[in-house]
Amino acid sequence: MNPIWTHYCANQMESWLAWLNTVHINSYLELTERFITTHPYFVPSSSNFDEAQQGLFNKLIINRDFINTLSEKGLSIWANSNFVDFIACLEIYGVRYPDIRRLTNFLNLHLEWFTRVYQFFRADMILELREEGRNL
Amino acid sequence: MSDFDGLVRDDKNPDPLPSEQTTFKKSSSKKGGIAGALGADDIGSLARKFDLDPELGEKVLVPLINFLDKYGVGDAVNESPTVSSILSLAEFWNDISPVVKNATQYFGGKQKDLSEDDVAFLDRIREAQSETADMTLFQDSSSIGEVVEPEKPPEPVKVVKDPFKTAGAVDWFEMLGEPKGGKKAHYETSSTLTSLMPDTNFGVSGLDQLAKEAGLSIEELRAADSQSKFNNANSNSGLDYTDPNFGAKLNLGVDKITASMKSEKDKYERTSAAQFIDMPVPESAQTYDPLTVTGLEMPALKGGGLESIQSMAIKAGVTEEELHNSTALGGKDPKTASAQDPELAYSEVVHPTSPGELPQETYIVDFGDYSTDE
Repeated sequence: MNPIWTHYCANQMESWLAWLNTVHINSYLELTERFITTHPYFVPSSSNFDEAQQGLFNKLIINRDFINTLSEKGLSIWANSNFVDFIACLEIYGVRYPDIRRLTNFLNLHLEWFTRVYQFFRADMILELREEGRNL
Repeated sequence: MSDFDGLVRDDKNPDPLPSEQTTFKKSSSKKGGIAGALGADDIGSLARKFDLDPELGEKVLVPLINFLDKYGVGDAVNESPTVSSILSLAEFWNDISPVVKNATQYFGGKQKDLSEDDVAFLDRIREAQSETADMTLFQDSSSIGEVVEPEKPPEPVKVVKDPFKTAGAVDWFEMLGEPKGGKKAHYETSSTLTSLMPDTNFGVSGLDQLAKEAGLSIEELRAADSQSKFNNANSNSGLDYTDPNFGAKLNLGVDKITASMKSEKDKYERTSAAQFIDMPVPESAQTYDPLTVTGLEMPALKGGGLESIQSMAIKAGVTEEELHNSTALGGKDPKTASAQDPELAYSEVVHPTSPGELPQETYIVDFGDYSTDE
């Protein structure tokens, strides 16, 4: 298990569950699936990684505050991890929470799509961190 | 009057509105239809009566009541005692109001809060993470983890003089600000690590030299040497390899086997009638004839030995020619052609007369001899 993602999930799970209580997850995933179907080669821009957006991907992955708490060593581990590592840490909570289970099933179903989008975000984030002077 | 007269409205003589629409307009002008039917003066008092959220009353109840009033449901309830008694809107509303209330809360995000069990569960996970996580991966305000200090750039080396303009050999020790090496090592190197190391003697080095190179004293080396511990514990086990009787002194660990062989040999000599000491020992295995033993005479065979085949053939009345012809003795010559054997000639195929029945000659009892009564 990736220690960065494990720590991230443990700290974010409460807010995710609260968010999942406010949305009808099946409808939400259906809408997301339609987006993926109509945009199979979606190339996000930097504006797509705005944390104010309420997209599924942004809600789960994009948390600059957390990434800024990482040390140089932690940043290196985060930068060398992939989306599968994140899903592996998330799946554990699916045993107790059905919504999380639906979510991880959905992420696994469209793993290639999410992996590609995550790579764009990671590259964007690494550039940003380097501009901030972080040793990465 | 044409067929299309009904499609064009005459502004001068407008048609009177249907009676239903007139009634609708009249009824819609009435206020507090549904609210009145439910025993409240207005919508606000209705929401308070059923303990509904003010927000729900504003966002859900007002549009719903207006919607029902618009289509005269409230009037129908008021005017028709039958509908009023059957529909019983008060009870109906009493039933659906919790549902609407919950739905409003659900989509309004009022169930964001997790249950206490979930919060406790997640807190336990978070605490466990904080205790077991590698904190060097994170940096926080309490300075837990590694502190990244900016690396100081190396100070530039001051060049004493320009080596390209200096005539003769360049003293690089002086050029780089290093102290001059007093004694040249085997390798021309200015490595600090190499210079700290003791001189190494090539070839076979003694134990003292090896210990010195390893940074140990000879006592420490002996204390850590398991072989010397073994040798000290068994001081008599050493052998002098230059001793001419080295082979006799060599202990192969076969004492038990040797003793056992000796006891077995002694026992055999005691119990055996043969005295192997008196027996001759051949000089050479190649010239040794086991059938000729000195002092041993083989008993003579009586009867002239085995009877020859020829004599047995004469006794049996078999001629010399028949002896070499196996066919004459009743055997079959495998060399003869199969065409001479009538049994092997398949020129004629004989089918059984009664297939499925055994031939008569195979029966032990011949039933043909018995007479049967018809």
